Parts: sequence; structure tokens; C-alpha cells
Amino acid sequence: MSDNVTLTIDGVQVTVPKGTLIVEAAKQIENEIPVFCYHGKMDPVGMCRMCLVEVGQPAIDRGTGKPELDEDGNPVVRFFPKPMTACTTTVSEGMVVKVDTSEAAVDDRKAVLEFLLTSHPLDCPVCDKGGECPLQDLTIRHGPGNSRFDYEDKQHFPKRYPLGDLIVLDMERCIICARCVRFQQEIAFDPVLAIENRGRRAHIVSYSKPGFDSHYSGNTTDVCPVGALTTRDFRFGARAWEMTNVPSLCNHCGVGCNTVLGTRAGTIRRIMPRQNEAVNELWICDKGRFGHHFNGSPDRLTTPLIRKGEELVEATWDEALSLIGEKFGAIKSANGADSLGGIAGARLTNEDLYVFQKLFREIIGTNNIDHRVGLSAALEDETAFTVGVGVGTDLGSVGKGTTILNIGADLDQDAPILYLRVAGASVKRGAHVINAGGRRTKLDAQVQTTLRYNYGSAARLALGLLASVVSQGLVAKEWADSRTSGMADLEKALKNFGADKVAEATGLTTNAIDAAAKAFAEAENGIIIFGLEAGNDPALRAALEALALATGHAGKPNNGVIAVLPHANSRGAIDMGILPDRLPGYKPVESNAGLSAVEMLTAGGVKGLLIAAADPAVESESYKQALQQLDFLVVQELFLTETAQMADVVLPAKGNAERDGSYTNLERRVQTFDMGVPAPGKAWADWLIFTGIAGQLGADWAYASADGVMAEITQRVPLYAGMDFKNLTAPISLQRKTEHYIYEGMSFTTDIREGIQWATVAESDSAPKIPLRFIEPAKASSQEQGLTLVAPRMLYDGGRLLAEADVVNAHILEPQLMLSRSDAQKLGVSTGDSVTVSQNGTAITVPVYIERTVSEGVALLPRNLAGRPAEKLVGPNGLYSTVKVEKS
Amino acid sequence: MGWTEKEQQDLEKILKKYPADRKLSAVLPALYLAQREKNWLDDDDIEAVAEALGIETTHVHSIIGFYTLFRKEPVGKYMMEVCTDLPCALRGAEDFFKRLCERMGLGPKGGTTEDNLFTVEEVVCIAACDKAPCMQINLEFFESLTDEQIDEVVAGLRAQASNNGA
Amino acid sequence: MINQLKDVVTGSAEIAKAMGVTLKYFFKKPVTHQYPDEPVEVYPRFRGRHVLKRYDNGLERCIGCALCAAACPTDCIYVEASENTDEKRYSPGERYASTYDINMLRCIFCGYCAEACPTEAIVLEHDFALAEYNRWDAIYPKERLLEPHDPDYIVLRSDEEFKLSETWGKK
Repeated sequence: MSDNVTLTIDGVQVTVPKGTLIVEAAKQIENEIPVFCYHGKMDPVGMCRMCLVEVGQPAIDRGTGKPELDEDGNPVVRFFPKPMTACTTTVSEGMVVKVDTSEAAVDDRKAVLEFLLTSHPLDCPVCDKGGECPLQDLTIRHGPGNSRFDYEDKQHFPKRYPLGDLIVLDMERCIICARCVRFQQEIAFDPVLAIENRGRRAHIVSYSKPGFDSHYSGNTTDVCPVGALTTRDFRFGARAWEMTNVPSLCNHCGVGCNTVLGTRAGTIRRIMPRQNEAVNELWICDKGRFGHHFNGSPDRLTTPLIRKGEELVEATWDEALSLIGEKFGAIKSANGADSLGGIAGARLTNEDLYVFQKLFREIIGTNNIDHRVGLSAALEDETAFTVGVGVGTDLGSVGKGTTILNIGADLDQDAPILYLRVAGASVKRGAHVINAGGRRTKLDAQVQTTLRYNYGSAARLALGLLASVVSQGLVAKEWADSRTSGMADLEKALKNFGADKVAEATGLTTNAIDAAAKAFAEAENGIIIFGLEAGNDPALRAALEALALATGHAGKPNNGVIAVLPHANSRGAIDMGILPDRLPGYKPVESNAGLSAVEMLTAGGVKGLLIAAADPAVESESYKQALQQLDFLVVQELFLTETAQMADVVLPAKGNAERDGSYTNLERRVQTFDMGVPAPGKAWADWLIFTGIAGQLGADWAYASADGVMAEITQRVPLYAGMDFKNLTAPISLQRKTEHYIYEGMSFTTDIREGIQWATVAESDSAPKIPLRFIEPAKASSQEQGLTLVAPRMLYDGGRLLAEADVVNAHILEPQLMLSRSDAQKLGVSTGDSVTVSQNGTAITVPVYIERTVSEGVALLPRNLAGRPAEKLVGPNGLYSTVKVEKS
Repeated sequence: MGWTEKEQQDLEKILKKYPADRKLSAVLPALYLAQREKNWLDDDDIEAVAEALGIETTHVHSIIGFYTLFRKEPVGKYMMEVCTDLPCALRGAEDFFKRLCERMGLGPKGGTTEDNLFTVEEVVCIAACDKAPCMQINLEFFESLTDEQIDEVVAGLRAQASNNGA
Repeated sequence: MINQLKDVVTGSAEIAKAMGVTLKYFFKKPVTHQYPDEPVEVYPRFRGRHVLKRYDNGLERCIGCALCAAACPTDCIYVEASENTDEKRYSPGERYASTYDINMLRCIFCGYCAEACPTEAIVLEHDFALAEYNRWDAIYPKERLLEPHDPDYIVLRSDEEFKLSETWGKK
């Protein structure tokens, strides 16, 4: 029997897979059944009753078991006596559904709307949803023109009931569809919303502490089919029809969520998710939604500044650029090209970074460039080139048969939307997720296997898994033989390494490691995710690469490795060769490698430095001293950061909402964003500034736009061939409001683009065999007494861009040392007490916070917070160190 | 609040009845247990139930909100619940309720007495229609009531309360 | 000769006729208004300069819904809304217009804004004298629109006269 069924909806035949809901089947033939509570991404509940339809099935003769036929030989259809909800009823063979052709169903829906409107306030003129409101639109299409209910008898509830400090509930407008409650339960896995009371008194509440404690709360306002949930940020910001919806990308983490800038009168009014099923589906996290205020900040740099003595004074672009040309030229002729260097932050676009490296390599003539400073320095990844996840990977669709191994990434904090997709794969679609980490993270509650290793042993765990795969005979022999080389050497190295010591070093049992290795190797698809807390360890990366290759989980969709890199374009920075030893496209440099960022930021490293979109001065005191000793420092920034304050020339750059460009996300998907708002003052796009500097140094580049730069990249970087803006911006379709709003939550019209992924070496059959690498992990640090201080990254950190968003200020973490209850008891401290944390003579004082997710023997001090206390102890690039904690 | 030792034992007994991964099922008996002592639930009680069952506080609140017999507002030690549904009303329960409120010194919609001893509340069916006007005080039934009986019952309970208090 | 005489006679007659008209109007009430020394009469439904109304208790009627701006065919209205707080309350309810500008140079006085207004906050009154020395001054901010505006150079025609319209077109 086939897996499809054929049914008739309003006289139109449609064939859909078994188990499809009537609403979805109707959607396929563009018969739009009105809904409020139903949402394509959530389980149906049938709460709002808006989708009532008449359903009939072919009558079966009880005697013969055959369908009854009428006089003309057509099957007799027997209708159910009562209407059914189309959103909870699955289709069956021969079913007949009447949506608009049944008078009863039309009347029923009319009545449902009349009921919904009995207590819904008629305040559409002041409602933020007005103009893009499903209730408004469906009332006009399906509703009665008037109401039989007494207007005076409307229920009155608070109009401004805050659910947490980001979301405001208008209780009167709520129609109790529970989309928000279900989103929090089923998709965000933060069940902090619920319906309290019943009947007419039912309303949404949140009793978590703090209220509505979730990183995804903003999405509930998108799925809300009425104006009940609004964000504090956008409340009354603009009417829906007044805004221009500009396709953009979020620049806060490496996921590359597609967003829409709702702009009006040159300012960003709101940010909403833009559907991209391959990246962020329909969601964005609150950091992306509320962290856009840096764009319109009054503190932005608006004009070039030149140092005159102690002061930075305003200057024209001509003055600033010619000064840079003159000084850089002088340094170069006096001390050679290698006395100059450049650091570019990984939130610049591919175009900026390409021009940046071209400026240094071709015009100045040095390889002294790097992007690894601050957070970017804490995690590197070169494995994506060989075994990155295959083109076409979609974490939103993987399920049964897929094993996802997550090592050292707290996805809920590092890459929130990736968390939604991995947790969803596990809970909704039955993928096997192995969450390995040094501490309890939110993902632990949604996965089948949790491996808790000792901090610092992630590389050993990876090697242990690899050794276990080998010893259990789970190597994908055929694939590994044809595509990799050095298997015998690897096996030998693993034997010498002593896989038996892994259990001891990691603190895990051999059985647990074997079971995890088996689950990963035997899965049809295997994806490895690794992040900051696994450590910036070449041994780990080599081991994970070998693990993916040995198990054959590479070179095809839904297989491979994802590094959870910290910045929006960390991947692009590596692709574009912003490294002292690698050219664009992962080619090693031909001549000598240049200086790394750390080397350039050592006193005496270089004499002239160009820093774009990075702020090393706040990262460490030694960087600051090195910067002071430079002959000439140029800083190109959005704000007058600490580094910029030390500069000889400060150049104002455009924020990402003020220009176009492209980012490459952590799945290697190259995506573009458009310009949404004008830049403040005389700011220039970064690539234009680099071009200007190059012009001063004798180049005759003629880039007119980011598009033009990308055109050159496609020619010169084979990985990016075919990625010109024409292809990148080609919309999949211009999604119309009517196709979308009642089903999903994108209530506006905008371009839906998918972006393009570049292919890894493993995906090319003609590529040479990939060598299996083995790197011996560094010896575990000596058994010093004390706690292991770990510096993870949290979502709401002290980053400069987020600091501009007042609305999330309350969420930005203050530096505090998170301790387990037992360690706190040993130290005799409780939450709020301050302690002195010291290591090798460096000491800092921070308050304590007792946190139940922390394991004994570990102390967490998130990195990238105000004053960078964690970096003082573990170093700007370090992850952990052994510290002494004393009550102060 | 923190459970008392007896309550802790009872809670464990309740939890034992349900599979370890289905603790949520124990929420109603657990709430009933938490409410046993003072007839209503404060935030700490709710927090304690949420923690015992490993669920979100918000979830527990929503369950309490759904059932009328769980209360989040302070009530008296004795809950006087009078049914005023149709059969009872036909036997004069509505007037009886008004008189009861008056006698207890409360407004026409009931409430809690100043000494926090009694709470008078209108409820739906308590399954004693034939003997209306009827009233349930905590778990005890009082049927075919007259005004004089009210005073008797109240006096009795007051005496009981002061004895316990002494 | 006869022709010349004829010309004189008919010419004189014409002049007399013309002077007769002059003489007739000499005794009639003049149609010229001594504007601006004397007020001008306008019909009650004449649409002139906009005014933003207030409630009797002094709160603004405008709730910043921007439906007027949406209805405006020339896009001459610009509205920005903000939220009322208990300390700073401009209008009843949650929302008020923090910015409300009308570009009078663009306005065609069609009255759609008043028609769209759910609170009858914007009303087209009768002032027609909207000249400015500076083009920027023709953009009326909210403060200017909120002021009661009743210039003394305009008077409404009486209802009596207005009722004459009933006979219009019936001839």
C-alpha cells in the first residue's frame, strides 16, 4: 500500500503523505483554512476552533466491507455529524473536506470569531499588531460584521502586564491560543509560560525568576496571532505598514540568523527573524532581536580623528588617509614592510576582510595580519576546510539515524539558534545527541547521552572516542581507505597514546566512552559540534577530524564537523586568510609566515598597526602596553573604544545595518545582507577605508561596491567561485504575507534567501586523499591544589555592541564567580560574598554566585565581561587554569 | 516553606506511587499536601512543590489556577463553603448565604473574618442538594441548617481553635 | 452723415446702459471683502487648516495610531507614537503621539485624515491663510496643531444661508 492518500477538499483532489493534517493538505492546493492556534512548527492542539471544517468519509457497507455506491456508482460519502478541527485531523483515503462549500462550517467559523471577539478589545488603532494581525485579517475574511454580545460586558484585564522585563502582555487581547506557551515548551525548552485560571479569566503568566527567563522570549511576540505579546523594545515603535523591511543578518554570533530590519525614517525600529529553513527557521534569539541599538547610538564615531598631542581632533577623510599613507610609507621604508601589521575583527564582512588582507599582502607586502584577538583567539578551526558539514546539511531536518556529538559548546549561550535546532533534532525528531562538556548545560535535559569530562581533557576524550571506534572495529573501512591516508600510522599512534588512560584523565568510564563511540560510528549520519569550552587545542581538532573521517561521517550532507566560532564572520575571516600563515581559501603562504596578533601585540613586535573592529586594549594589560609603544596606530571602529583612544588616527566605520556585505556562518554558508539605514556622519564601509589606505600607498584599486569586491573574490578564491551577489541575493521566492501569516509568524513581505555553502575537500571525489592527523595532547597541567577556573562565554556578555542596548542591560552579566554549593560551603561563602581569586601572583576580587549547574572543583567566571577579570587569570586566549580562591 | 518531617515522609510516599520519570503526575497530591496545614499556598509552598517534582514554578502555578480548591490567597483556618446552585437555591440557600455572611460580619460575597479563622465562600454543588441549605467546613458537612445552628457551629469551632491554640 | 449720427445715438444709449449698471451697483452692498480688515465668511463644511483636539479634561484626543498618515493621499502627515506613563500622561490609554507633523504645503485638504481618525482628534477647521515666510514653517508640529485656533478674520456663514442649498439644482 502506498504511503500517500488522496482526498478531496472543496471539490479539489489532492494527494499527500499519510499522517498529514487537513490544514497542511489544504495549504498545498492553496486553500487557506483559517487558524490561530495551529503553527507549522508546533504540535497541533485544536484550542482555538477556528479551523472547523466538515469532514466526510466514504461509507463502508458492513456486510461486504466494500465502499457503498450510490445509483450512479459513485461512493457514498458519510459526513460526521459535527464539524472537525482541520488542524488536528489527519487525512485518510477518500476523505471529503468541505471548507468554504459547507454552509455549516462557514457559520461555525463565523461563530468562533464572534466568540473570540466577545472580550477582545477593539483597540486596533493603538495595537502594534494592527495591520499584520491574523485576528484582524481573518475577521474581515471570515467573521460576522457585528456581534450579538453586549459591548458593555467585555472582560477587562490589565493592558500592560509585564512578563519579564522584555515582553509585555496585554491580557485583554490574548485569545488563549497557547502558541507562546507551546513555543516555550516545545521549541525553546524553557517552559516558563503557562495559562493560569480558566474560562474567561484564563491568562498567560510567568513565575520564573527572573520573569520569562528565556533566551528566546522575543519569538513569542512573532507567533502571537494577536497583539497580546509585544516587546518592550518595539512597543508603539511604528505601524506595521510604515516600515521598510530590509533583509539583513544578525551579527552577534556565528549562526548567521537571517533577520529583517524594520526601518522607518532612517532608524531601525525592530528586528524580526527572516525565514531560512537551513539556518534559523523562523526564530532569532533575544540578543539578536534587542542588540541592534549600537547602529543608531549617539556615541558612534562620525568623523575621522587625528591625534594632535594628547587630543584627538576632527579631520577630513583626505587628511586622515594621507597621514596614514605618509606614516605607513615612512615606517615601511625605514624598517621594512614587516614592521607594519594589521588586526581585523571577525565581525567584518568577507569583502572587508578580503580587501584588508590584499592591502597588507599585496600593497604593503607583509603577512603580519590576524583576526585572532579577544574571543576570536579563544577558538580556532581549520577542520572545516576538510571535514566541515556537507553542503545541504540541515540540522532542522535531521532526526532518527543521526548522531550529533557536541563537545564543549554550551549551545544555549554560544549559538542559541543552533541549540534550538540540536535540541529539536533530539526531542522532536529522535536524533541521538551526545552532549560532552565540563559542566551541566541546558542541552543536557534534551539529550540521550551526557558525558561530563574533566576540564582540559576534551582532546583526550576525542582521542578516546577515536581509539574506541578503531578498537570496536567500527571504522568505515571502504570510505576511509579510498579517501584518507595514514590509517595505519594513526592506529599505531593511538596505541602509543594509550587509550586506556583516557577514562582516568576524563573522569568517564570506558563503557560510557565505548557506548558513545558506537552510537556515533554506527549512526547513518554523524555531526560533530565543538566549541569554546573544549579548548583551543590542535590535538582536539586533529582528533575530531580523524573521528569524522574514520567513521565516514564526512563529505556528505548531514555529516561533518561544525566549530561554534564566536563571531558573525569568524568563518569568513579564516576563509579570507586573515591569518599570518594562510592565504584566502586555506592556502599556506608562499613566503614566510607573518606575526600573529599576539606577537604583534607584544612590545617591539611591529612599529605601525592597523586595527579594525577589534579592541585588544581591553583584553589585557600587556596588549595595552604594546599599543602604547607603537610608532603609529590606526583604529577603524564604530565607537571610541579603549584601543581607539590610544590611536593616532581613528576612522569611523559603518555598522552592518548601514551597508551591504556578506558573512560566512559556522556551517560555511555565505549569506548577504542589505543596507537598511544611513550611516552616522561621515562613516565609511570598512572595505572602502582599506581601499582608501591602499590608494595612499600607491594602489589603483577601483572597487565601487561590496558587490565589486565579491566579484573579485569569486575570481581569486576558488572556494567562493560563483558566490557573486547576484547569486547570493537571488530570493528563493518573494514570500507574500498571505501565504505566511496565519501559519508561521512572518507577517511581512521580504526577500527569502538561502545563501550558498562552499564544498569541503571531503566532498570532492577528485580531491587527494586527506591525511589522518594525530597530535599528542599537551600534558595535563601539574596537579596544583585549588579550583579549576573556567572562562566560558555567556550570551549576554560585556561586548561593546550589546552594551548599547538599554533594553537588555538588566541581563548583561556582572563579573561573578560561579561556584558549586559544596565548594562554596568549603570556602565558607554564600551568594553575594566577595572572594579573591589568584593565580601566579595575579589576583582579582569578585562576588560569588552559587550555581547548581557547576560541578564540584570547578569555578566559572565568564569571559568577555566588564573589566575582563577572567582573561586576567586565564590569559586572553586561555580557557581554564588552576586558581586559589579565598574569602576576602 | 520547607516540608516538615511528616510532610516529607508523606511526599516520599506520594512520589513512590509514580514512575521516577513521571513525577509531574504527583503534582495534585503534592499540592494537596502542601496546602494541608494552612488551607492555602504561598509562593514558598509552590516553589517547594516545583522543586520536589523537578518542574517549572510557572507550571505549578498554572495547575493551581485551574483548580478552584487550590488557593493562592490567604484564607481562614475553617473554610465555610455554601452551595448556592439551583436545587439548593430553591431551598433558600441564597438567602442563607447572605445571612451567614451577615452573621460572620462579612460583605455579601463572603470573605475572611478579621481573626483569620473563618472564610465564607459560595461554591458549586457539594452533593447534598436534598438537605440544603448545606455547608462544608473543611471536610465536615453541615446540613439542613438554620440560623441558630450557625451560631452553634461557629461557637464550637471557635472553642476548638482556642483550645488548640492554648 | 446719417451713419455718424446713428453711431452717436446708439453709442450714447450704450453708455447710458452701462452707466445704468454702474448706477445699479452703486446702491447695492459691495461684494469685495475688506480682508483682512473685515472677516471673511466661510461655509461650515469648508475644509481649512487642521487642529488637534483635546478632551474636556485637557488630555489629547490623539492616540498616535497614524491612521491619518495611512489615509493621507499626499503623505503629508508624520506620526511617531510613544507610551504614556502614569507620571507623564498625554492621552487616555497607553499610546500617544510624541511627534505629529503636517506639511501644509503638501496637504490638499481632502479631509481623509479626519475621516480616518478613530478618536476625532484631527479636525479640518476653517483657516485658509496659511502663508509662511519660510518653507520649513509650513510643517506644523504637534504643539502648533494642538493650540485652539480661531482666527478673527474668519466667520462662519449662518445656517440659514446654508440651508438655501436645498434649492440648489432644482430649478
